[in-house]
Parts: sequence; C-alpha cells; structure tokens
Amino acid sequence: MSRLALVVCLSLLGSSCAPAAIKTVYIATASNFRPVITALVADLETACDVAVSVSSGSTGTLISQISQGAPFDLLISADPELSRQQLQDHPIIAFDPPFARALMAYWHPAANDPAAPVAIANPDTAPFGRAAMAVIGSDPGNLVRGANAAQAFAFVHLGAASAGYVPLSLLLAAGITEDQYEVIDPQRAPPILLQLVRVKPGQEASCVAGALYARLSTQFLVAKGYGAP
Amino acid sequence: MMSQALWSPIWISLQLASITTLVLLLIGVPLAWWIVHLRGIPRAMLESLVAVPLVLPPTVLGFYLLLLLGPNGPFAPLGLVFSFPGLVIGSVLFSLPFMVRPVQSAFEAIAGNIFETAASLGAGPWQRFSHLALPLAKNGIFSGAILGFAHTLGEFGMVLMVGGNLPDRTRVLSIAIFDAVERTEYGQAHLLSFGLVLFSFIAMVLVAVLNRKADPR
Repeated sequence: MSRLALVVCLSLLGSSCAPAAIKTVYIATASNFRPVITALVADLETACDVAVSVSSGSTGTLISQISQGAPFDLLISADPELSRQQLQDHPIIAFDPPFARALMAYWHPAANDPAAPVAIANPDTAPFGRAAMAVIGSDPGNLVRGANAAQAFAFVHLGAASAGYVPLSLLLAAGITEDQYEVIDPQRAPPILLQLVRVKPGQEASCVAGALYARLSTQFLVAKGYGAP
Repeated sequence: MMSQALWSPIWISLQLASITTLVLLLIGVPLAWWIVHLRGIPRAMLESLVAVPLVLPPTVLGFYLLLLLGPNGPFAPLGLVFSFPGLVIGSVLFSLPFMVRPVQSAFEAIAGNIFETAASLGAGPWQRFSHLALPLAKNGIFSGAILGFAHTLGEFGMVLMVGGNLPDRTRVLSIAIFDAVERTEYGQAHLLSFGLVLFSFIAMVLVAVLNRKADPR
C-alpha cells in the first residue's frame, strides 16, 4: 500500500513542481491539414515564443468538442459552413476567410487486396467523406468509413482497404508515388475549403495565426497538396 | 532518449491510473464492505449499480459525463470537461467494479465467526473492519488495485469523449496509440502498444499469484 501511495505522491509532486511553462497555443486541425501544421510547429513556436500543441480529427468532431468547451485557441476547419452554423452562438472572435482548397485523390495501391472495401472518411462528420460520396454517387458498393480522413488513409496504408478517397496532402506527406493515385477533379465534389477560426482571444494565438498565414504561400500550399480557395 | 510525444501520454496515463486507484481504494473498499453487510433487494440493487460499467459501452458513460460536465450541464462551473480531473472522475466510475468485485469476494471469504468472536471480546465495528477485515482481505484489495490500475490504463472511448485528446493534458496512452495509427507512425504505435500488452500481462500474473495465495487449492 505504501508503494502505491509513493507512486501517487510522486505523480502529484511531479505535476506541482514542474517549472512554469511558456504559454501554450492549442490548435485543433482537420486531419488533412495535420502534416502541414506539424511541419510548421517549430517555426510558429520560434516566431511567437510559445509552445504549440496540435490536435487533429474530423472537422465535425472538433467543432463538437469546441461547443462542449474544449480549450482550443485556433481551429483549422475544413468546413466553413459547418463552423459558422455550429459555433456562431459561441464566443468565437473571428471566422477568417478560407485560405486554401483541399484536394482529394483516389488511392489504389497495387499491393492491396482488390476485394477489400474502399475507405472513405465518415460523411456525417468529415468534408472528405461527403466529397467522396459525391464522387462515388448513388451506388456506394463496399465501403468502410474511417472516423476522419486520416483514419481512411490509415485503412488503405495498412492494407485493410483496397483503395480509398483520401486527402492529397496525406499522400504527399507519406511520400506515396504518383502511379498509385489519381487526383479527383475538384469540380466533381463540393469544395473542401480550409478556414482558420479564432476560437479564443489572446495575443499569443493572434501571433501564431499571423505567423501561420505568413508561411502559407501559394507555392507552399500547392507543394503540400492544396489549391487556391 | 524517449521523445516528449512518447513520454507525455505514458506520464499522463500513469498519473491518471495512480490517482484513480487511490480514489478507488478510498471508495471501493468501504463500498465492498457495505455491500457484504447488505441483504435482499438493497444488496442486489447496489451490486448491479456498481457492476453496470462492466457491460456498458464506455461511450455511454462518456456521453453522459460530457452532458453533465459540459458547458450546459449542472457541473459546468467546475470546468471539468476536457480536463485531467474530469478524466479521473470518469475513470473512477468506469473502473469501480474492477475494484469492488475482488474486494467483496475477499471479504465474503472471511469466516463470519471471526467477527462474532471479536465482537464478543469487545471489538467495535471499526476495529473489526480495520484490524480483522482489512488484513485478511489484503490479497483481494491488492488484486482490486491492480485491476483498477490496469483497466484505467486501457480505457479509450470514455477518455476520448471526456478528455478530448489534448496533447500533454488529456492524451493518454490508448488515445496516443489511436493517434499514431492515424498518422501512420506504426513504430510509435507498436512501442506504446507492446508496452501496454506487457504491462497487462504482468498485471494479470500478479492478480493470479494473489488469488493463489488467497486460495492455494
């Protein structure tokens, strides 16, 4: 019993004795944008002298968490309409205009079993899922739904799905060769627009937002799998 | 050197499991003692209530905790949703049967005439509990503590809903594994998963050893 008490005391002691940390800015991002944010974290931290913490998920899930009080400072939403609908009654300080358009690709690795289902993100909570359904049409066939676009990507990556409708950004980040996917014509599906929502006021969050925009040049975004909004 | 991304969820999980186990010991042992002394419908009701998390999907508990602790719930002013203390509350509720069941069995295995003899010698209820019941049920209490600790480490659905997957705050091991798979960082997922498999196996061996000590047949 005394050992358990020791573990608990050390745990509590560890928490209370931790040195005062610099301010952390919490960014929630649609999962398709995670590789981009992750690549920029060190830059943003240096530019604003803060720690940046990144959480990712489907836009619908993140919006739901913010509605319930999740302590995010910034949200990178892949569904501006849903953000405005769901968050307009909350103390959101600004919905910025969309800064990029996400591109979707049909990924079909030759090594995967063609009889396995096709992976898409959940159309109820993820814009990539809705875009995939628009492309697939009325005969969905054998589909498997990931909680978000990243999980749909993981299903294909692990070989559990034969193919998948996934963000081009994730394919590029993973170094998937071009012969394994086709980029879907953006005209075939509702646009997936990325927007920054400033959830909480604060000098540090504003600084991070500014530093982020400064790094999102058109050339940079295209290289990461995005287009102009 | 272990990276912060690996170390942080391990540390948070260990803190959560330790504090939850401590709270479970404080609540679960007296609760098991109380159940043992109840009879009839009240006992059946309380036993069932404690056992509900065994069969309840974790998301059900997570959903109701989210409603209760969230900004529109009665406990909103406490700010517990998406916080570590909120995770502790959820984990205690969810792991309660894993503590109470083995402790209750240990109390029930003690011969009743020991307590009658102690009472005839002048021992009061508290003395009978603290000087007889607790020492004689120590293996069951240790088993409950190990099971409660291990179950808390492995919980996923409820902590995802109540905690919200916040790095360095509420991202526990199970969520970090889920996150690593989504990022296709399978090396990290393997490392964390194998650690949990190993820990779970050791925990089960410990429980088996304690059970054999309590009943060497």
